[in-house]
Amino acid sequence: MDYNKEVIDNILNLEISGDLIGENNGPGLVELLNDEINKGITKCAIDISGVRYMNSSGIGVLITILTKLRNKDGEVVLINPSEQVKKLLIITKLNNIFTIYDTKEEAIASFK
Amino acid sequence: MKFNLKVYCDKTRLKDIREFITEKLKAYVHDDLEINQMVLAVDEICANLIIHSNYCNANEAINLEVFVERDGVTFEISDEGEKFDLKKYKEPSIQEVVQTKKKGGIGLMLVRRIMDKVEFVNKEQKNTCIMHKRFKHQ
Repeated sequence: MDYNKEVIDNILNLEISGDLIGENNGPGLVELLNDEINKGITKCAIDISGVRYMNSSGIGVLITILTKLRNKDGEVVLINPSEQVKKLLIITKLNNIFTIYDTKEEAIASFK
Repeated sequence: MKFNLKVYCDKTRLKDIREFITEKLKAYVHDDLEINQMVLAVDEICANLIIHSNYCNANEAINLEVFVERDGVTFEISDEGEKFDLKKYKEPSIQEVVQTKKKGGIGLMLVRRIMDKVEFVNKEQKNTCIMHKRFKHQ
C-alpha cells in the first residue's frame, strides 16, 4: 500500500493505493491519523480509488478511522471506491455508515 | 484440475496464499472482480485459521486444495488447530461493530456472502473448511 497525505483548510486528504490490509498498513495509518487529530484535525477525505484489494482487516482500519474522528465530533468520507471495494462496502452495509463521493471536490464541499 | 499449497501458520504467508489463488484462477476466470472475491474468501478463512485456530504457531500448517471444475471452484482448507464451530458464530451487525469497536466476525460475514456454499467439517484431529463458488460465466 502507498499513501499520500495533505492537509488543506483543516481537512486531511488521504490518497490510498494498492492493497489495504490491516496487519500491514493499519498501525501506520492510525498513527498518521492520531498525529493529525492531535493537531486539531477532525475531518478526513480518503480517496480509495487506487485500492485494488481490501480484506476484513482493511475494513477494520476504515472503521477505526471513522470511530476516532467521530469521537472528536469529526467525520470521514470516502472517495471513488473501485468496484471491488464498493461491493465489500455494500456486503458489510458500510455504505450506510460511510458517506461516499465520486470526486474529491464533492467530498471537500461536503465539509463546508 | 487440482492445485495444492501448504503453508506454515505465519501471517506473512497470507500474501503467498493470495498470489497462489490469483495465479491459478486467472487461467479459468477472466473477470478480475470475480477472482478478487474468491481470493478474499480464501484469505479470510486462512487468516482465521492461522491467527485464531493456530495462534500464529509456525510449527503448525494449513493445507489449501483448489479443485477447479467446469462450472465452478471448490476450496478445501484444512488444519489441525482449534476447531471452529459455525453454529456458535453470530454475524455481527455493522452498527454494533462501529459502536463497540469489536471488529471480529466481519471476515466470515464476507466469506458467507461471497461464496455459494461454506461448511466446516471436523474429523478426528483434522478440521476442513469447504467452500464452493459457481463461475458467473462458463
